Amino acid sequence: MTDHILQVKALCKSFGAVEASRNIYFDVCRGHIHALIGPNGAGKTTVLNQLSGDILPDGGRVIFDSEDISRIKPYLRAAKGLARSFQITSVFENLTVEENLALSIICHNGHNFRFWKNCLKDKDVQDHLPDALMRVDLTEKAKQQAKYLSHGEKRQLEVGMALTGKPKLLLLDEPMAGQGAGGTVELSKLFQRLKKTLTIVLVEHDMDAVFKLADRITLLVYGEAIVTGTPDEIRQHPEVRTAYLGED
Amino acid sequence: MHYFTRKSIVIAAGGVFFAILPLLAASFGKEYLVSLFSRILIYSIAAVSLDLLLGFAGLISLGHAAFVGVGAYTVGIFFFHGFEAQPLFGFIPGSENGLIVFPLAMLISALFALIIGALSLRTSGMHFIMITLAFAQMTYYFSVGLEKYGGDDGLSLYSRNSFPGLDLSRDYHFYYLCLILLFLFLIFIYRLVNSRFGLVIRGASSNSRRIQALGVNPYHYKLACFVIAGAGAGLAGALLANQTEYVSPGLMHWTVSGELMVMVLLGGLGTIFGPVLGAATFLLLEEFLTMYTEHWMLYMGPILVLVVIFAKRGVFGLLAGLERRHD
Repeated sequence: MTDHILQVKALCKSFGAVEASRNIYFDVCRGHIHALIGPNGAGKTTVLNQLSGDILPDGGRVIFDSEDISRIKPYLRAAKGLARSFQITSVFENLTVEENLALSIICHNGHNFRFWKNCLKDKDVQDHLPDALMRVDLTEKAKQQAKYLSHGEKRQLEVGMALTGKPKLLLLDEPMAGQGAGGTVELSKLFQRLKKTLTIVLVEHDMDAVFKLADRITLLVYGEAIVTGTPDEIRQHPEVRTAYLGED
Repeated sequence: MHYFTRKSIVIAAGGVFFAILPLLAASFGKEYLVSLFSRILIYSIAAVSLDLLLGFAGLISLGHAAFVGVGAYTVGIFFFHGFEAQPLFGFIPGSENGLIVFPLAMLISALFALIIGALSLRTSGMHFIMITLAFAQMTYYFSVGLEKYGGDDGLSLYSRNSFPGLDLSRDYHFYYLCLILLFLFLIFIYRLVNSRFGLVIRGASSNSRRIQALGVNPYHYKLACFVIAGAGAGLAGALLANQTEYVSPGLMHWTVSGELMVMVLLGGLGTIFGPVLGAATFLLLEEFLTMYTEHWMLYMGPILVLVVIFAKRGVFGLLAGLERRHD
C-alpha cells in the first residue's frame, strides 16, 4: 500500500456554466513531485486553488494526511503543512526581502502578539533567516524592497517563503514561468533537492522540466483528469498525444 | 548601521525643538505659544495613532475622532462625578486623579475600538471607510444625547486633572506632560511597527491573500492594531479635555477624523514621526491663516493638494529625504 499524502476524490467546481473541475480523482504519493499538466484552460490552477483552499469545491473531497480539508480556510491548511506559491507572483511588495522571509518564518513559529522586540532580532528569525536567504540565493538583496526585484527574483523569493514553514506539501503554480533558462535550471535543482524532505504538486507549462522532474503526472483536459501515470506512461498514452502534446 | 542619517537628524532636531520650545517662548515673551504647542503635541498623539492604521495596517479609518472623544468624555464624566460627589451608576466614584483617569480613558477608548473594530474589520476597502464613519457618527450623536453631561453644549471641567509632582494648571507642566507622553507613545509605536506583530500587520496590509497562505488569519492582528490605535486616540482625548477644560460632542465629529487624516497625509503616511510634523504644520497654518480669514480651509486645501502630489511621504519625507530610500 503506497503512502498517499494527498487524495483528491470526485472534485467538482463550476463557475457559472463553465465546469472547471469535473469529477477529478488523483492521489499524490509522499515524497513525489507530482505534476498537473494540460492545455490552457484545462483547470489546473482551479484544482490547485481548491487544494490550497483559495476556492472551495462544489463537491468532492480533498484528503491531506488522512484528514478531510475540503472545506477549511487557507490559513488553517497552511498551518497543517500545506504551502503554496501563486501563478501570478505574490510577495509582500512593500516589505524588504529579509522582511518577506522573516514574516514567513515567524508565521510558522508560535504566536506573533509580540509588540516590542525587533522582528529581525527575534530568535526564530536569526536562526532561520540566513539559510532561507541562501537557499534562494537572495542574500545580497536582503535589504531591498521586494517591489524592486526582477520577476525571476520575486519568483525565487516566493518559493523561498513557501519553504520556510517546512511544509509537508508544497503547491507550486508555474514556478518556471518568467524565469530565464538559468533560472529554470536553478529552480529544477532546488526542487530535486527538496524532494527528499517534502512532496510537491506542480502546475507547469515547461514540458521539458516537467518530464525531467516529475515522478508522476496527471493530465487535465477541459476540467477532467484524463490519466495519471509516470512520465513514460504519460508520454506513451494515446490521449495525451492527441489532447496535449500533439500528434507527430 | 548609520546613526547619523538625514532621517535621524530630522527626528533629533524635532525632539530638541519641542524640548526647548517653552524656553524659547518665554525668552521671546510669547507664552501663548506653549498652549498652542501643547495642542500640537496632543493632536500629534492622535495622528500618530491614526498613522498606525493608515500607514501600516492599511486600514482607512474615517472614524478616529470617536476614540479621541471617548477618551475626553471619560475624563470629563469622571471629573463631573468627582466634583458632584455623586458616584457614576451609583457605585463608581468619580475622580480627578490623572493617574486613574488617563489609563481609564485609554482603556475605555480601547474597548470602544474593540467593539467597533470587531464589526468594521469584517469589511474592507470602501465599506470599511463607511462603516468606521458610521460608527463615529453614532458615537457623536450618542454624546449629543448625553443630557446629563451637557448634551450638545458639552461639559466643563473646573480644573485640570491632578498628577503627583505636577501642577497641570501651569501650562509649562502641562506642556511637558504632553511631550513626555508623545515621546513614550512614539517609542512604543516605533517598536511596535518593527516587532513581529508589526511585521505581520505590514504584511497583511501589503498582501492579504499571501499572509493567509502563510497560515495567519489577519483579522485578529488588525483588530489588535485597531484597539491599540484607539487607546492612543483615547490618550489624546484625555489630554485634550485637560487642555481646554471642556469636552463636547464636537470632538467626535467626522470633520475631526478628517483633520487627523489630513495631518497624517501632510506629515507623511507610514513614517511614524511624520504625523507630528503634520499636526504641527496643520495647526500652525490654521492659526496663521485664521488671523487673516475665516475661510482658511480655502488656502489649506491647495497646500494639501501640493503636498500629496509632490511629496508622497509628506513634509517628513521631504525633510528626511525618504523619497529615494530603497530600504
